[in-house]
Amino acid sequence: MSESNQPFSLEAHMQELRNILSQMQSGNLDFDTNIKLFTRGAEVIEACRTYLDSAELSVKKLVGGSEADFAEEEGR
Amino acid sequence: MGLGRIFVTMEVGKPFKVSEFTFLIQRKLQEEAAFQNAKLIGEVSNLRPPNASGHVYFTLKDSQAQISCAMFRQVALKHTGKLPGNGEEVVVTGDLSLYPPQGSYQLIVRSLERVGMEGLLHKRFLDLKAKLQAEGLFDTSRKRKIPSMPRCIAVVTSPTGAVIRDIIQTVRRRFPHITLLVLPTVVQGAQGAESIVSNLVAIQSRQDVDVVILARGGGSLEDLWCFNEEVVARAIAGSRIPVVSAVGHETDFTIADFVADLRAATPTAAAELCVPDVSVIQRELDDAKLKLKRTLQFFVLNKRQQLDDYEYKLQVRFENLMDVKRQVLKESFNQMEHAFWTQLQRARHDISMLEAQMNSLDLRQVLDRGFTLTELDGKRITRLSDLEPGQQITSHFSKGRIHSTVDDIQTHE
Repeated sequence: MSESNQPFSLEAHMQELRNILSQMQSGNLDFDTNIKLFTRGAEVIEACRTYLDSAELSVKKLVGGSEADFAEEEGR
Repeated sequence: MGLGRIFVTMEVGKPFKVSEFTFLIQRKLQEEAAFQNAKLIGEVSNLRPPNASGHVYFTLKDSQAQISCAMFRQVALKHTGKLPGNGEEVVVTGDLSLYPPQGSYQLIVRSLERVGMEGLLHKRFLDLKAKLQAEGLFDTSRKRKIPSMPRCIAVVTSPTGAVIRDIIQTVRRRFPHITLLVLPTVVQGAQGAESIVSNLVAIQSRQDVDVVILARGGGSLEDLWCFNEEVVARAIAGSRIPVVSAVGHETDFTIADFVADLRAATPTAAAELCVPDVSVIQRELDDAKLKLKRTLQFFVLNKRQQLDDYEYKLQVRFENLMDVKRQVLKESFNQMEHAFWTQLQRARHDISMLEAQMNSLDLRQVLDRGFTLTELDGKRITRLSDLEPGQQITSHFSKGRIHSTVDDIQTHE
């Protein structure tokens, strides 16, 4: 997939994952394709998790800092 | 009768000299209190003008008796120009005196009052007063207000004497900037009324004159008479300019006083009534200035406090507004955060579900358990009927694959 320029899209990756699954569930894939799809699926899952982890971390940073920000504003 | 008693006390036999006898009479006359400072009423007759020494002689009489009177120079001077006429009734005060050279007695006059004239004048005064009063000339409603700050005061009075001097001094002392217009006026005698009237009329054309003072010093009813003349009263009543009168002493009232817009007890009082006191005005101005200053200070202080108030309220309002905004922002943020976590959880859950499904489809796990997967020309073989002997097939194992040829096909029945 194109991960280079465009921003990461969770929804697009999830859709890809669902496509991979439906292909695998159809049952008439050759073994190699199956393996390839599985490998790609695992990659996509990993990418999604990484994305979610980083999103969580940045939000946690944001929330942690926000309390201080509000307090500072009230002190003015 | 007194003489009779004198005779009784005399020695009989020895004759008196005429002069001795006369002096005796003279002494007795002087000793008798009734003859000293006696007051007599009678008619004047045989009055002669003052002689070379200034003495005046006349006879006082009634229907049954008469007595010679002598008015010496000092007393006569007081009556210059207004000596009673013959036949006029007068009251004379004096001392009885004997004049030895002529053997006559006479009254040495100390003072003389013209009873008839006074009475006549008094009646005329009362008649005119009643007449003018009936016409309404004395009505309070006719009285005009004396201006509090006149530009020019006309003074109708004699140009000499205490009256004009008092007025000028009073005006100069109280308010030096006021113009005094002195109209030299005859205020006594035959020309008095005419002089007063002509001056009162003359002032009317002067636009700068705001008030008139009509004044004269004290005197007898006769002296003040011109102020009781009808023409004078009418001239005052007809004056366009308010008139303040100050005629005679405080106890004297003339027709002019009744007609005037204001009566002052004395010329000085008249000037005081017409002229404001500059020192009083100065004090009033100072007071007003101070009051103004205080008012202004108070005003400024008040405004300053209002401003402070507004500033404080504005600040409080601003703070409140900021608090509300902050609260809203905080709530929005909390909502957003909550939404985020929900979303994240859902995404993680979805991914886990997909992963589980994917894992369940992983063929390698099946191979790991000892199964194999057979393909013919890249297509998975699930039924033996799809195969024929001699065909090349590929079998996938957990760790690799094998290629083989189908020799024989046996189906389980």
